[in-house]
Order: sequence, then structure tokens, then C-alpha cells
Amino acid sequence: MKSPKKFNLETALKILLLLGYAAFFLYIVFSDAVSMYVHPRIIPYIIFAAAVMTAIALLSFSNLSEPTKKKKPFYLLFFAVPLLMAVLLPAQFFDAGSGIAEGLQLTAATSSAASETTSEASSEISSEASVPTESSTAESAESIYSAPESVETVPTDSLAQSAASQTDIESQEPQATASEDVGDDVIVMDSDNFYEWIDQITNSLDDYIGRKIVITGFVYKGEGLGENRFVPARLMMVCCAADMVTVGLLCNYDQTAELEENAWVKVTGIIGKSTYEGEEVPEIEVSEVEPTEKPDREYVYPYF
Amino acid sequence: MRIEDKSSEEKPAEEQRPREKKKRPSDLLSMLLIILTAAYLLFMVLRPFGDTILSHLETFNTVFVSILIQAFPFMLIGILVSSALHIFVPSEWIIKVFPAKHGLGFLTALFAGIFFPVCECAIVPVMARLVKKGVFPPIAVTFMLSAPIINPIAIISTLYAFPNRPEIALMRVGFGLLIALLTGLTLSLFDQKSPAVLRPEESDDPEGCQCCCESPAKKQKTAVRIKAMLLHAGDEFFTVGKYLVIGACLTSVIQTFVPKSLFENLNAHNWLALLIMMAFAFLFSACSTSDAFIARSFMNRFSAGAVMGFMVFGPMMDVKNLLLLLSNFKKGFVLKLTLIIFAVNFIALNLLTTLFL
Repeated sequence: MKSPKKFNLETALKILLLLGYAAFFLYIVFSDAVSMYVHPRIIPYIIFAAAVMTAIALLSFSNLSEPTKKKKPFYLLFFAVPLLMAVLLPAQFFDAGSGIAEGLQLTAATSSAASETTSEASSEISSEASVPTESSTAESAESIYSAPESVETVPTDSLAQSAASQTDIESQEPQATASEDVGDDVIVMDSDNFYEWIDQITNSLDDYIGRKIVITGFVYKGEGLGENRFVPARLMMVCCAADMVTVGLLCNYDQTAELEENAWVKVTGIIGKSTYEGEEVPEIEVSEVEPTEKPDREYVYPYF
Repeated sequence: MRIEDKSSEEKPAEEQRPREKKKRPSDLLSMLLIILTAAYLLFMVLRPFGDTILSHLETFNTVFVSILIQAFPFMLIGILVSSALHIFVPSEWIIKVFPAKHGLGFLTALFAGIFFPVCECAIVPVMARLVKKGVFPPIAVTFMLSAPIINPIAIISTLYAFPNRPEIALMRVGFGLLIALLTGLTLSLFDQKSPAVLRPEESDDPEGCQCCCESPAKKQKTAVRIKAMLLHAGDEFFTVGKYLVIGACLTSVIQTFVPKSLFENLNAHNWLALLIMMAFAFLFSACSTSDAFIARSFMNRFSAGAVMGFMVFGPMMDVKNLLLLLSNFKKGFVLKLTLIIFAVNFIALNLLTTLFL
């Protein structure tokens, strides 16, 4: 205090904190841990924030010799503690039991007006984009199933990936609808298209009745579903880990009692129709349930 | 530095400092330390009881960090805009854009948000800057309330969340604008002047950095001004960010320990349902760009009117916003504002939803 011009501790700490946050932000983006925290669409903002923080920190170096202010920098603890928590305690994937994503969402609304415009819009996209190979070779459940998984296990830049998978999904949908008459292609719901398929199937349910479907998700047996019904569900991250929603399609399976809650399963079945809480919803008539590995990215992300 | 009594004038500065110090930061510090110690003790005591507590802690940690990761960038954008206004835009221009006379300012305030597509985390620093620049507080409040709702991203996400019912997004925007305006008008009845609502400490702070950022009002090179803007943003980041951290912490505690099913299983109707949904929105502090998806999961159990309450009131006021407001405004004003926002929302939504839904 007596020679205040020497070194400004407050500024030094601020610089450290800013650089610390910037480093943490960049680390989670490049290690892909970011998918446990926020929706991929936030990533550009995170990189932007890291850049701004770094810039502020660098500029602040010139203030290091400024006289110390009267305030003691205790308030900086509010920034140091969260940073430590973020770095020391690794993020956790939730499951339905964590209580963070209660409230099952099975349906979209019932009329089909909007879904028509959706498929119109997406067919426009597909005519512009090149035809994705994975949907054009839709012959068996196995071949389609393995393709998206390989995408999933490679943690490429999530932004580019999500953008790419978006066009895939959108161009995949109209094609699936078009080849519906053939009736031999199987809908495969996985990490990249889970919510999109729920949306599509619920909105134009009548077009999809009788189609074979393969769903990967964890077993969710909520009260009120009934004895023989369960949902192979996924947690959907809408914005960040604070707003998770459980999504899935209702399944009718006579051995539901034997399924273990939260276990990861691959469900094969035929799309049918049922009611849930007074609303008409799709219901899968299950033919087979097999245990499966938990996917690398446990959450799904809506596409907007 | 404010001098409280004459006698202290004669005392050496060194003696004054510890006194000033004791007032604010160390209060918060000791509170934090007590909380941390208590948490640690609790952790040690509960450790033998196994996984449930630990998993709760991990859940809390993930939610907390995730809110910060999501909110810091948007807060930074808000702060950058606020600092840019501070450094580059003369107060007279801003007051011209938001004129107090004839309620024209309200009109600007209602629609300015279209050009500022960020959620509520970013809006508070900007709104506080407007008030500091001399904009009539009720007009600034109207801007703060309408911007997150008229935000294009929020509208698009609402359309996505309710794919076959565009009228819901339309009503959300309409009701939101109307309520923002009504709140601003109600507040103007109380005749709030800018200096009266701002925190005194805050008016100290610009003085404190006057050396670095007030001077660029004179003509200076752009590079110098940008540097000043970034440094000012840095200062503001640490003043506002503190409250964001506390808000995120509170929100995560609520999210972790209050089960959402508590709200879902309440079988309420009409005004009670609306009240519950508003309380839920307040406590869980969902972002306005994503809350429509959460709202939809309530659609089966609550009336559309109550869910509308969640989507209109939520972006206007919640735990996180409340704390962000406290970083710039006096407690009394924030309390009054919160009550007015709540009352106007409750009454207006009750009427509007019975009329339209």
C-alpha cells in the first residue's frame, strides 16, 4: 500500500482469471467436453467470449503499474471458485434419474399443416445439397445404423459436424417419405436425428404407420405409462445443462417389466398409433429389445 | 470516495480504508466462506451415506458451470454493447432515440430488441447503460422487458417448439410487448429519475475509471477508444459477472434440489396454474431462447394460458435477472420493479388468456 505504483494485485488477478476462463472455454470446445454443457450452437459465442477475454487480459497488462484502488479484490473469489469447480470437477452426463430432466415429452401437436411446410423447405435444401451417401444406401437396418455411429465416435469440430448432420437429416427426411411406398427401408433413430424423427413422425403419423423403426435410447418407465409400456428415451439439451428435456417415442412391449430402468437398449418395432393423456401419439409395437452400448454423446440437440 | 463525517477527514487515509473495506466485499466474502465451510462439513458428514448426495453435488456442479458457460458469452456481448455506447455514443444521441416526451421513447423501446438478438443475460448491462446515459428509467425498463421476447432467436425457437401452432409464438410476442409497455407505464407513475434508481457505488465506479474512459469523449484515435472500450468492458465484466455467478449458483441449487415433478403434478387451474407456472419460470431461470421447449413439456398438464405465463414472464424476470439488476440498481428500485413486473404480468395474462385462449 505504501508504494502503490509498484504492482497492482487486483489487475494481476483479473488478468489471471480472464485468461483462465478463456483457456477453459477453448479447452472444452476443442476437447468436445462442451457437448456436456451447452448446445453446439453456443460454440461460436464461446469462442468469441474467449477471444474477448484474452484481448481484455492482454490490454490490462498496461494497467499493472497503476495505483491500487481502495477496494480489496476479495470479490474476485466469485470468479475463482466457479473456475476451480469447472476445472476440478469434471462434467457429468445426466440420466433420467438425476431429477434434472423430469417431465417426459412424447409429442408435438397434432395437425400436420406445419410439417408440410417443413418438408417443402427441406426438399429445397436437398435439391441444392449433394445427396448424402448414408441415406441413399438405406437397405438394411445394419447398414444405416453403423453409418451415423462412425460419425459420432469421431469428435470432429462439433459445429461443422452439427451443421453437416443437419443437412443430412433434412435431406434424409423427404427421401424417406418418398420411398415410403417401397416400405422396406427402416427408420433409425440415433444421436444425430432423434428429435427430428420424433417431430416428423408425430406430425405426420398417418404416413408412417406400419414402418419399421429402430430406436436407441435408455429405458424410461414413468408412472402413468402403464404396465406394458416404456419409452426408449434420450435427454435433449435445448440450450444448456440447466434445461434438459426427456424425449422419446412410446413403446408397447409385453416384457417391459424385465427391462431395467435407465439401461441402454436398441429397440426394433413397427410404428402404430395410441393415445397418451388424451392425445394421439405414435406407439411402437416392439418386436425386439437388445441391450446396447451407451453412445459417446448421450444427449441429443434440437436442430434450430 | 465518500466521506461520511467531518472527523474522518482529518484521519489518515490508511485508517479510512479498512473501514470502507469492511462494508461490502468482506461481508460477501465471509458469507461465501461460511457457505463453503458449511458445504464442506456437510459433504464430509454425508459422505458415508453414499452416492445420492455425491451425484447431487455433481449435478449441481455441471448445471452451475453450464449456466456460466452459456451466460458469460451473452453477458459479454451485452457488456461490449454497453461499453461501446459508453465510449462511442454521446448521451444526447441516445436520449434522442429514446425521447421521454409523448411516450415516443416507449415505441422505440418496444421494438429496439429486434436489432439486438440476445437473451436476457445480455440485456441488463445495456439497459443499465441506457439509464446511466439519462434515458427515462421506465423506457429503459420497457426495452429490457420486450427485447428478450421480440428477439428473433426466441421467436424462431418458439415456432420450432410448437411446430403446428404459430399462433402461440404470435401471442407470446403480442402479450410480451403489451405487458412490457404496461409495466413501463406503471413504473412511470412512480416518477423514477435516473440518479435515484442507480446504485451509488456504481456512480462511484465510472468516476474511479474516469482517467481511462471518460476522456475519450474528446476526439481521439479509434484504436485508443477501442482499447478504452475493452478495458471498460473488463471492469464491467467483473462487477456484473459477480451477480451472474451468484444467480447461476442459486438457479443450480434450485434445479438440483427442487424436483420439477413438484410443479408438474400440481393439478391446478386458471389463475393458480398461471401463478405456479410464473413461479416456475422465476425459479428455474430458463433462457428466453430455449424456454419454449420446456414450456411445451408442460402443455399436457397445464392450460395454454398458464404455459403462456411461463413464456412471457420468464424472460422478463427470474432469479438470474434479479441479481443482474442488483448489480446496477438500488435494492428498493429492483424490489419495486420486480413487484410491478409480476403484478402486471399476472393481471394482464389472466385477462388476455381468458380472452384469447
